[in-house]
Amino acid sequence: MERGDEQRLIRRAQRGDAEAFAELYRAHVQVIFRYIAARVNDLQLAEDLTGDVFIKALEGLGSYRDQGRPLLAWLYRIARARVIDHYRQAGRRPSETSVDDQPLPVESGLDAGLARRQAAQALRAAIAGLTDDQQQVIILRFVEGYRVDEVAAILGKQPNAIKALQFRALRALAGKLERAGIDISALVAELT
Amino acid sequence: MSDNAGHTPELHSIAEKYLAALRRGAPLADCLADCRARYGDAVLAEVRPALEAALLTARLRQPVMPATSVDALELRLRGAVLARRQRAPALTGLARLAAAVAIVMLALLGTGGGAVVASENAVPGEALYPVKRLWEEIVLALAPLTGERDAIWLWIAQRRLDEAETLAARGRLTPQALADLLAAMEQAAALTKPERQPVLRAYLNDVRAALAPVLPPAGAETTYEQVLRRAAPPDAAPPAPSAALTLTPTVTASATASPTPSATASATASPTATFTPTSRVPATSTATPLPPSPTPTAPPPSPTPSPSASPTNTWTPLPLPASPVFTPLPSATLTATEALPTAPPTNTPELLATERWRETQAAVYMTQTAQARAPGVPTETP
Repeated sequence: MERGDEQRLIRRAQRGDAEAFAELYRAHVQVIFRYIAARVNDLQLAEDLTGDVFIKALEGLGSYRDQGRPLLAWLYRIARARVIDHYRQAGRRPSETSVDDQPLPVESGLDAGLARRQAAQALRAAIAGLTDDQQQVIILRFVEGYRVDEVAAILGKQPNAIKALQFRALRALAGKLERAGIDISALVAELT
Repeated sequence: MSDNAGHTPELHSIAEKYLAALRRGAPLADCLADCRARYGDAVLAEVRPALEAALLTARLRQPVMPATSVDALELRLRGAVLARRQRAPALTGLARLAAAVAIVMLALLGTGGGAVVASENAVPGEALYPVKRLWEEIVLALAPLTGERDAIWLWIAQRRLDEAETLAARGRLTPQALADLLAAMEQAAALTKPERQPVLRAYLNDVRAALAPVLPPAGAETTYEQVLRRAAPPDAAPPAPSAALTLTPTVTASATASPTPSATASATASPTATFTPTSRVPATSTATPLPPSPTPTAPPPSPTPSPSASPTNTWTPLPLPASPVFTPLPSATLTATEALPTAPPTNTPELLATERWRETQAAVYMTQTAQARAPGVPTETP
């Protein structure tokens, strides 16, 4: 969605235009859902939290001010806060959902499909087990495909800080997969 | 991939350089070879796992929120927008005056008042139907004076149900009529006060019973399913024959009504609501909806099912296939040249149902109520 179009929709939605808000919702719902799903690793929960995010966005839209960043950046912040709040209410932090707690070794003799599924599950669990900042960067960079400068704009950080965060996160992911018995070099070679 | 001579970049900058190369389509093997040649094996040992983890993450198939859940959440949000507008000071003094004048004019002009009376049984497609809807808008515009918006929306929702039934009996039920029904039902569900939940429950059961035998018109399946889902929330008890509801609104404004404007006309409403063996709400001519005071006989229902209740929502396995079927690195912000070489185009879900819903919804209450009421500006911050 073009920035100009988005700004016009925001202004209409701030005046109580349900159609405008619905349009903004439709433009962003899947992105926010993917973001939350990657963080909580639970689709049902991700749907519920996605609903909460947009309700919260609706409640706060009146005080929303365009600061030169896309609306999505604001929605991400709401989503991030909602995920953290969820885990706070649930009495545990997302990082406690670690792949180390539930190792998923790749057994020899299994068919490739199952092995890949296990690897995918291990990878999702590993992402969910990253720190909050690391998760954000990994999701925005490699799930949503944003460039470093875009991620920096969304998160309000310097590009160099994003690169450093990204590198630590990727190394952490690789380590978690390795400890889960996943040979990522072999898997990558198989996929490329 | 050139660096300034004599300066070794930090590991994260080296890694980003090769990540960018991968995004541009460079093979991983070439990136690794270049890294070894430029920085040596020690740096390669640090960078390689990061590049591989990035490639795997980009190949994860991403979940998609089911269209039914997306639609359900959109309905919930639309209802919330309307509810917020109505909670806000909806009418300025001038708008109230305008609404009052409109009522007086209808009453004074015999033909206008007569039109309102005659329009009561009109259904979509008939000449007097716009008059019927205009009258509802006027009643809604006066809601701030009566403080009974939820009762008004229940009354309107019942009128939509009556129309849908009439149209179905004539074989003319349209997607628009179903959309109107759903919009009114959603609004009633969003606004209904706890003490009136039994009324809402009875109404939803009516919708369910009325639509169950009806074949939806072509192209209306999605809307029809939405109506049925809304009418049968998972935790709702089946309708009890002895506990069905009849609302008996009292006529307070009609063709013969006194031109005394505004608040007094509506404020004199003396709503009654009694449980009888029938569950239908009579569409009394020119009746101003009256706030019912039912005696609850059943626990409050959950009229607005959570979007997460969709039966299609399952956490499907997410393999990492080698074939392009796999997907995704994508988003609207990525250009084709930025995608990883093996990533095929994004499988962005087509929300066809949502599109259809948008088409049928656009003209209903959102636009009409926007004309009748001043918008409210939310003040909360997330």
